[in-house]
Amino acid sequence: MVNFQNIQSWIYYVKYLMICFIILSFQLLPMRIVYQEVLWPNLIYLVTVGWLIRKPSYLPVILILFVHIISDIVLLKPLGLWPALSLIGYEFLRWRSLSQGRLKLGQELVLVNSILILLTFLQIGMELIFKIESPPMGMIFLQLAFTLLIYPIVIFVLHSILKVRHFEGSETVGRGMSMENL
Amino acid sequence: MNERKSKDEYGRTIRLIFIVSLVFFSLFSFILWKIDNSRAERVRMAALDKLMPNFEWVLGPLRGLSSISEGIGSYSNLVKENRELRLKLQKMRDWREAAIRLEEENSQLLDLNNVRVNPSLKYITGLVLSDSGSSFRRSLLLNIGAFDGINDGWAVVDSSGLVGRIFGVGEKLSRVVLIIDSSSRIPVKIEPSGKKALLVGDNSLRPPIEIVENKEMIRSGDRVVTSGDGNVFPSDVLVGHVIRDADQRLRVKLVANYGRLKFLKVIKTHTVDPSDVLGEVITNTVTD
Repeated sequence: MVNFQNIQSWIYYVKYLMICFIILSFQLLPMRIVYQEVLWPNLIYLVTVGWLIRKPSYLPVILILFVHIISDIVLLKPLGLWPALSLIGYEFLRWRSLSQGRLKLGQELVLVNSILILLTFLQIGMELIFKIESPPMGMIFLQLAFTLLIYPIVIFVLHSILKVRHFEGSETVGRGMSMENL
Repeated sequence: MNERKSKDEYGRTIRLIFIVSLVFFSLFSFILWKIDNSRAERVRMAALDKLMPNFEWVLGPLRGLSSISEGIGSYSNLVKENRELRLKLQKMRDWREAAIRLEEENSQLLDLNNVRVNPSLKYITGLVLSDSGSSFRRSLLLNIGAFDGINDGWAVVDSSGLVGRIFGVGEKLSRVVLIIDSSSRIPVKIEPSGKKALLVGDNSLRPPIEIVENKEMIRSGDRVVTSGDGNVFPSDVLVGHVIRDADQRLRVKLVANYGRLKFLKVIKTHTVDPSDVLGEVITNTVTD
């Protein structure tokens, strides 16, 4: 039984890594210099959040941090700022979905969006404090809006293609917030 | 029952400590990046050297697909393009005659004046691997690096004009910051008036130029070339042509074809190593 669950969680880990990997590769494609007026939404955030709400015990923190650091390195962003901030948001969401049970879709949208807005403002604040040249505000807010709008699509993909769904009843028993899912 | 509960509690505390330490780890790496930026960027380039081959199996097919779709797009334009090209060719023939005549005249005059011409610029050609993946940073990765003798700060051009400069060199790849990136500042010269100006990247494909004085001397259509100030760039590399936008602000229409950046040339230039300069200054003050 234990073995079976182990295999199951490994499948989820591999799926998460793959989807993040594919997202990064698409963002890296060298064809959008002209079309860059279309902003990339923060897809990795959306996938991670959707995952944590649906399967909170099948996504270890280490994995999230790993993916975020890699994306910081590859996308030439300030190293470590966004991972640090977003980890707090992710862990809050994980705690929320483990302890308070399933969210309604509307609640989920509001929660995810407000956390993203909060994190974005925190990031802008940190960039101002540390005097990092940040992109124009207009672009940040455009990207923010775009990210918020696209979340339902990400949920759909997670649910129907990647089969990351809410737990059915008894599944949650035995995998709470413990050492297992570090 | 009680024992199990306390065990759970214990696990939760450990977990919390673990998460907090991860957050601190990220913050710590961020602060390191901020304090010692150049070293952190070098570490990043080294990491990219290792990482990029892993992306290749996804990037390769995707790149192929995008070039196919580009190909289909260009076929549909073929007839129109053909007609335009024929028209242009007509004009070009006249220009060619004129150019040959002028070149002859020019070389005769140079010879008369005993001018020593710049040694021809040497360059290395690289293939564009990927772009920065964010709309905020306009940069590219090239598949040539320190191994091929690339240095920081060198100018990067495509077949027609300036594209950017090298910023960050790895073993097998290097990063090019485009001149349209918002951190880019390039000293330029406007011909024929010879005014010096600064080309300021603002993330748009028509970057503005900043000039201190005598704006009236500049006309739309004037050529913009690098001035070579600051010993970073070679001089007289074509950048683009001056245009005026709706607010009468001077901008540059770039000649480099940003829609199709595939092969780029890196121009070898002799740069002054800042660390050497620093050493000189220190010894001077000591001896003084």
